Amino acid sequence: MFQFILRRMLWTIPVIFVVSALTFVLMHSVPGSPFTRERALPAAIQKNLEAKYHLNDPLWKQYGDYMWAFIRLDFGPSIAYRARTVNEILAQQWPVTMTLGAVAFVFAACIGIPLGILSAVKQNTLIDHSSMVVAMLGVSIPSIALGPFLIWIFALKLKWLPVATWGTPAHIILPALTLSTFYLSRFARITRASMLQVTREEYIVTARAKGVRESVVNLKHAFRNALIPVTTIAGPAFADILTGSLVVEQIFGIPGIGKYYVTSIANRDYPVIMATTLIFALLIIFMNLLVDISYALLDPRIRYT
Amino acid sequence: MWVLALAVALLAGVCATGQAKTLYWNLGAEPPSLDPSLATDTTSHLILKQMFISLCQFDDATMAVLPDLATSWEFDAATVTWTFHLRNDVRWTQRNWTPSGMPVTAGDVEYGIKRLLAPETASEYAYVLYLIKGAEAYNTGVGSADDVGVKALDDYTVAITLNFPAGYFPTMAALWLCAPLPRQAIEAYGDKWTEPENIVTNGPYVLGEWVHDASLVLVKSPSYYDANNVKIDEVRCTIVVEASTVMAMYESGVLDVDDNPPLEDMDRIKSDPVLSLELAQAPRLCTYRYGLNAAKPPLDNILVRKALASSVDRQSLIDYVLKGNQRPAQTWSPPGIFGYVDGVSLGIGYPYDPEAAKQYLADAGYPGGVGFPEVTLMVNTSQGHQKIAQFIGQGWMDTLGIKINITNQEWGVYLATCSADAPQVFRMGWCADYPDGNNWMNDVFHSGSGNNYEKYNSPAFDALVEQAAVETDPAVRLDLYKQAEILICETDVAFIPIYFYTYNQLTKPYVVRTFAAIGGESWKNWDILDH
Amino acid sequence: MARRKTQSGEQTSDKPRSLGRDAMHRLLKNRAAVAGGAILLVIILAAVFADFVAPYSITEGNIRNNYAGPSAAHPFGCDFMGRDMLSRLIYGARISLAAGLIGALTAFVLGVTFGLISGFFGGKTDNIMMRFVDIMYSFPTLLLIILLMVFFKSSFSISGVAEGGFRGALSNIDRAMGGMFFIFLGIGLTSWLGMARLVRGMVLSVRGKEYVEAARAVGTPRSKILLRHVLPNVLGPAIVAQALQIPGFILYEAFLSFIGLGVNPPTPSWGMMLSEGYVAMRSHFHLVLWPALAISITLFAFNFLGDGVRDAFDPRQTRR
Repeated sequence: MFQFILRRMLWTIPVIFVVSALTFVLMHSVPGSPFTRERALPAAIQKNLEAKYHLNDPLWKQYGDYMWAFIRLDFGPSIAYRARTVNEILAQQWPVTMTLGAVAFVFAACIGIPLGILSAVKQNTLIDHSSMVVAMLGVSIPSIALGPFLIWIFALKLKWLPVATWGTPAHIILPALTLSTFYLSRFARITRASMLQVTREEYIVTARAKGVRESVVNLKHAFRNALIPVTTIAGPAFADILTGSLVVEQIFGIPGIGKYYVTSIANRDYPVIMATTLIFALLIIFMNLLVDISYALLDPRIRYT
Repeated sequence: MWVLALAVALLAGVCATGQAKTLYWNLGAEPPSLDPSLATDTTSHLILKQMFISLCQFDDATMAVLPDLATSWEFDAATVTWTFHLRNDVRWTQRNWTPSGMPVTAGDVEYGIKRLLAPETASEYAYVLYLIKGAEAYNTGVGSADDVGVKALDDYTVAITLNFPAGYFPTMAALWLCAPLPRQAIEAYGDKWTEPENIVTNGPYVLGEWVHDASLVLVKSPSYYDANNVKIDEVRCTIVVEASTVMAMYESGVLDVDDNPPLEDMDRIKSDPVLSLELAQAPRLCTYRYGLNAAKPPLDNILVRKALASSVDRQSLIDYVLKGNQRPAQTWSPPGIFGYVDGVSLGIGYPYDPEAAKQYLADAGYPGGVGFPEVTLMVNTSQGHQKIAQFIGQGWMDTLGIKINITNQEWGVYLATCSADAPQVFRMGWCADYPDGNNWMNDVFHSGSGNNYEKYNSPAFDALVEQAAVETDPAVRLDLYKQAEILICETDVAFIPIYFYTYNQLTKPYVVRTFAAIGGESWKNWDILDH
Repeated sequence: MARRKTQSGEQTSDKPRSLGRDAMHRLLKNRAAVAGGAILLVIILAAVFADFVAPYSITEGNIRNNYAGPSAAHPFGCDFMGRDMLSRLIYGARISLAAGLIGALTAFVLGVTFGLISGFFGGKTDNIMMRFVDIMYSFPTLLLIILLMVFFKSSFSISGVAEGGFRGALSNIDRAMGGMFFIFLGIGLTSWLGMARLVRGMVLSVRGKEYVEAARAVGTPRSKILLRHVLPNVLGPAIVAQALQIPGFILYEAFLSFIGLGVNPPTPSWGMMLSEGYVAMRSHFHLVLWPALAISITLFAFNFLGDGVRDAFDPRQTRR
């Protein structure tokens, strides 16, 4: 197991290099420098600025310099915001996005999975059918429509929650809810399907025949095994929730890294783009590793060599 | 420690008036920089206006130039020098709030202007000050700072020598460009001198708190020279970009002012009994235009350009798409700018005349649009611009029978494209840096200007605007600008002016406010009633 | 073939039923899936025959009608330029469906080819190719697609100048399609990884089967084995799996149009209509309601149908 984890961690190094190289190339292929402005700068000044940020160096050198600094956790200055370094920007905005993402994930898992179990246990009843319809709605309504709708109902009409921005726990609810609906529904559907499949396995039948209580059957035997397919999508779920925060942060005016990413592409703020993409990638790798580890914990038959 | 001092000051203010007056505002974007030499966008300028004072200031209503740091000024024609006499009771305010802090001196003004012009600062607005002697040379790296024509004659007198007598120079002295800057702070903290813990200011408000991308708080400065007349103690700004979200926040009472309500909500606002009373519209010194690349066929034929210019239904655009009571524009400089001519009443330029448009097109050799090649209309990516493009483009297609390809590019790419090889029709705007025709005619459309995306090259036009720049007689200048407008808008059809912007703002009834036509609002003149 | 009577008196035939027919039979019994399929069929037909079904063209509009609510002439109201919402919705179905289908097709072709080659040739080739997939998996898809779209929109500049060669050709295709070509390309280029992995896994398992061994023993050239034995067995589940992805592509396109990296106006796509109507949501709700409903119902139908198809092909029933 330990060896497995070690190998996976070593694996992140080539991944980071490829991801960073690809991002770097794409970024620099888009025309327009960070200093193109509506009020044109005198050519001499623009050259000075570009020199200051080493933008005139050959591309491979820029890339090399950047990666060398990255490894030492120095993400460089922000080109668009001269008074701030990328480290500072990230330090301020990542926690916001992570909080939002984590709460959304918790919503999705803690509402979705029990909903799925309930539907499976009460299969073909009203509860089952209505839950599945709600779940279907969840994967069908895009967040760009859902978000403003929720604001309209809960913030403007009912006035239960604040309209937008960030700061108190109340501010997290609507955006997290918007962000979580898609995976909430997916969790519910997959849990249900998986539970139904598992309850037909022989060991469940045996347990029932032995006279084990129904609740124990469900929790101890069925649930644990049913979780395996659910864990499969947990990794991509977290990744998608993180990137999905792009839109939600925009709608709710949340100062997170998602909203910042699109702006930084528009500003050609290269250091910010690189750092954000790489950190996203690292997070995804980490989540996938967690998912694989939890496989091994959930299913004793799985052993990693 | 500092927070304690702030709290005490606020408390004192509260005890004095009985209630701390707080204004809740929204900034539509995170200010990229609060450094006066570097700020280029309206959000930064709004905040800077509250924190820093300049030599002069504009009267919000009349745009007359009033004293601020400078109490009086005079011009000496012989030496082409403006001399400004400064107040001696203005202090720099720093974080530890020593009321008897350092005085703001002429040396600070000299430092501020020279820093703006320094090549290392790389300020985008340096070109505006090129009329100062030695400024351009210094800024482009061929001259030295000592040769720049700004001199502190003593602690409270500064002399600025120009290249030519520019009667409009006091309007430029009212800009943030001529503001004194705190040398010590800048040299001590470098790029980080604008952070709340480092910044040193001299204006009516100080920067209390700045959580990037989230919020910004301005607190009344007790050591401002006119602090007794500043009524609002605190301005709390949120930073939300999405206009419809901001509108929702205003309606739910979280914000006191919405300075950018979505035009889609205009109908609802105007018919709502409460909101319609809170809506105010004021002119804004900006013009929206569709630039024409006369180097690209078929636009190289002036008749084609006239046809396009005559088939833009500006009034319908304003009534149905923009909905903000904007004013149709047939000339370039908006009302309020020295040099403005009322093109619509005087008949300068091309009004909406579909019959004439069809005739122009027929005369150009494309009767009914037959044989006319497809024309590209490009805007930068934004819902608003795309809607306008759809309306105007559709109008061209319907009236003239031609084919228009509407496309968009993201802003950075768009500017690069327009500089290098502009599409046939492209959208551009311009907002006044200072309220004079020089900023509109010369700075934008002179053949050597980097802002001249149409690449308009007319020696006659250049001559007109160059002469107007140095001319001292206002009547002559007005006439020169009128001739320039006729030349560029009517004779040469270099671009199609579309409309003059307006401000549409929603303000809660308990806010007593002014409307600034140029630059940012002057919160020091506002008040908040009990509510 | 003779018909026999079983003990219970039912009639059966001993003609073997193929998996396909079995699946079809099960599918038809699934009412939700049938309903979903029917809805989709209506939408697809409306999209294909839009010219006949839509009451107006997408550009026809009177600005004086803008933001008009539902009326007799315009049952779904008008948009900000006075254009009929219903007609734009119908034409918009084309874009969304095309995005879903063509995006899926691109991803399918890329993924299947990749997975086939990797799984079949095995060894080092497989190793390298799968490593590549693993690496690309870590790239946040949304970020990649945004970067790609900005790159496409800017490099293949559409400024009315005739460009020669490859770039010119691509730009022309894109313009002819109203700006959709690069979206399909972008979606396809970022979504083929899962398919590649899936196909590779299936190929690996098929490779070990006896009939493949037999074919090799007889000396059949590898390409023939690939095409005649491996591919047909892989294609079925692959198609089903990819079809389940289509709703995701439709959402992608909506999202891209929403942030401005999508189609060019006046081409209506549901995402673009959502984006245009979004700002006006509180004042003119119908601008957002119809495209949101359209996307949701389409996805709803796709999901039900997709579930039904998947269940139909899965011999292990999950319903009693």
